[in-house]
Amino acid sequence: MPFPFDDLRTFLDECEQEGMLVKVKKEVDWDLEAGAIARRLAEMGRGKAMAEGGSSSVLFEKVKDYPKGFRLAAQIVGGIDRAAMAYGYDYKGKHSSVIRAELADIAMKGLRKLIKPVLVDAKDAPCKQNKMIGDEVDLYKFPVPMIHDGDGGRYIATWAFIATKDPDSDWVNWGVYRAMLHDKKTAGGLLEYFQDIGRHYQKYEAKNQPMPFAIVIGSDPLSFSMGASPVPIGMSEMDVVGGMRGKPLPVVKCETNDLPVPAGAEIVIEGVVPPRKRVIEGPYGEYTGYRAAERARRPIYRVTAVTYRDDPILTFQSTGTYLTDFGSNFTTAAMAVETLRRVGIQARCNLLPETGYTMMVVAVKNPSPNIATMVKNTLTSQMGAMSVWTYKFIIVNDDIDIYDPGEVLWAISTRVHPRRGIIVSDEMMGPLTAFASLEERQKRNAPHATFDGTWPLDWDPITAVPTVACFKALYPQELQDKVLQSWKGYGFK
Amino acid sequence: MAVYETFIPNLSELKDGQEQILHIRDAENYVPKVVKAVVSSSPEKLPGADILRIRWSRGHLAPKNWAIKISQDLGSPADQEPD
Repeated sequence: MPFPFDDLRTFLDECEQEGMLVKVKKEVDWDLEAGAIARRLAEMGRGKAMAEGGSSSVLFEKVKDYPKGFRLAAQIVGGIDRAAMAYGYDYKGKHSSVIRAELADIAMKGLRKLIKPVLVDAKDAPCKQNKMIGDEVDLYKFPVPMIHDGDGGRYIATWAFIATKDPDSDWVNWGVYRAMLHDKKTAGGLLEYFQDIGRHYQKYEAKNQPMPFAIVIGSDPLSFSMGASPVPIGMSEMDVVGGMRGKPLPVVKCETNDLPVPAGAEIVIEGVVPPRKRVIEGPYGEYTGYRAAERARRPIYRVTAVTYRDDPILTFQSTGTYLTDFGSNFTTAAMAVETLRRVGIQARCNLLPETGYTMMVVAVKNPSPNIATMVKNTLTSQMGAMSVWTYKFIIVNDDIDIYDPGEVLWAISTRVHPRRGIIVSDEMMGPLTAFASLEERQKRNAPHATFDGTWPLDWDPITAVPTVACFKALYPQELQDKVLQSWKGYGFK
Repeated sequence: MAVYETFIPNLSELKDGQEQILHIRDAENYVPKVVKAVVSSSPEKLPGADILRIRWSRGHLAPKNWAIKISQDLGSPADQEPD
């Protein structure tokens, strides 16, 4: 496996070799057809590995109305196997629970050992092979898809991240934020003040200055995954990418601003976000599985330059039910584990992709009084914007497999006391929250729920805590060993 | 006959038979623009008009089309005011 992947193309080549990529040669319409295909793949695959019945990634080689070479791709990290490949992990023959835990460990190593990127010359950067500067800019040159029927427009940034820089420090943030076309030189999208891009934007707005940006489409999968992860405020995702790669990520400066972008990216869109300018944007079918956020006036991206590779691939996600990208929850889980460790709580964490990342399960090794509230408050207070998009917390004992949704459901149903085990708290919430009323979504204020599935500490472990009726608990160790050693001899696979 | 779409929270946003400024988009290429136009719930009252499809705020399509006669194209929604 040629890890690390310096660009999307080497990753897609590897996917093709492993039988995980379908190259669609038949002409496909950018108007809903490509989105419909990608959506169906996501719903059929549900993030599973190909070997377990998952769906492939897809490259559309011929797009209606567009010249040869202008391509679309989706489901890039559409399964746990591709997430493992993107992280450089040998996943073959391993259970998905093991894979998820190991990927979280790899993410943690990257967070702890940052490696800064290496700046390359423009002549060595594939993303600079073609340029549109100033009046030449025309975003409709690319086959920007109409992803879902009824969306507010054509979304150019879905499997893409946006780079911005804090005006008062060296902190460059990469984050995944959607962007919809307004015209050939302008896009616009959801940009909240509690997101890192919003933190940067507030500072520019306070000075009445435009904020430089770069939309990076079709990066290597690790860069996108980190862009989608809530790394700590002040930490640059490209440094985490370097740490996870074990070597620097090649980056190049933009044409019309100094932001660094991956040199191997497919398309880079540069420009400024004007202060205090808002244009109607949305609605859009989001990763939470709904089109919930109101159509509203939101910031815009004025484009000053576009650079792109020969035969550019515009990557997109047909977001909706069942996640379309599985690369980012491991970093979030790793950060949650580290955040809890710093306050003395030993735990494993899983941000459930089955819930659109709106639910986190935490298995605690050393429960203490009020542990559920402590875990939830620690995570939401110290992990920034994550708490806005994740609003259900399930706290369990360490015997629960947090990577098995069935076991998590069983724990919720059998261990959470309906009266004393559900704690509701008022919190800040994002506009994508489906259960929130229109007013709650507009005010960004709706409750979180914490489900305490830990056994009460004053329950005697022998006489009061129920014994789990399972193989490991109800049979003598000698017999368990005998059964396991004789398994194939019995005739089982 | 061209087909356009507009997003509105409810029908009271449309002034039946009167000229108004409206955000619309071309239903073929989804290029948005702001226009000065007369809209009508009864297409027969607006001969020569184009079709206006109505979408509610979360994208649902209303069952009944209106008619639209554009008198002035005011350009991109992003250019209605200076930056």
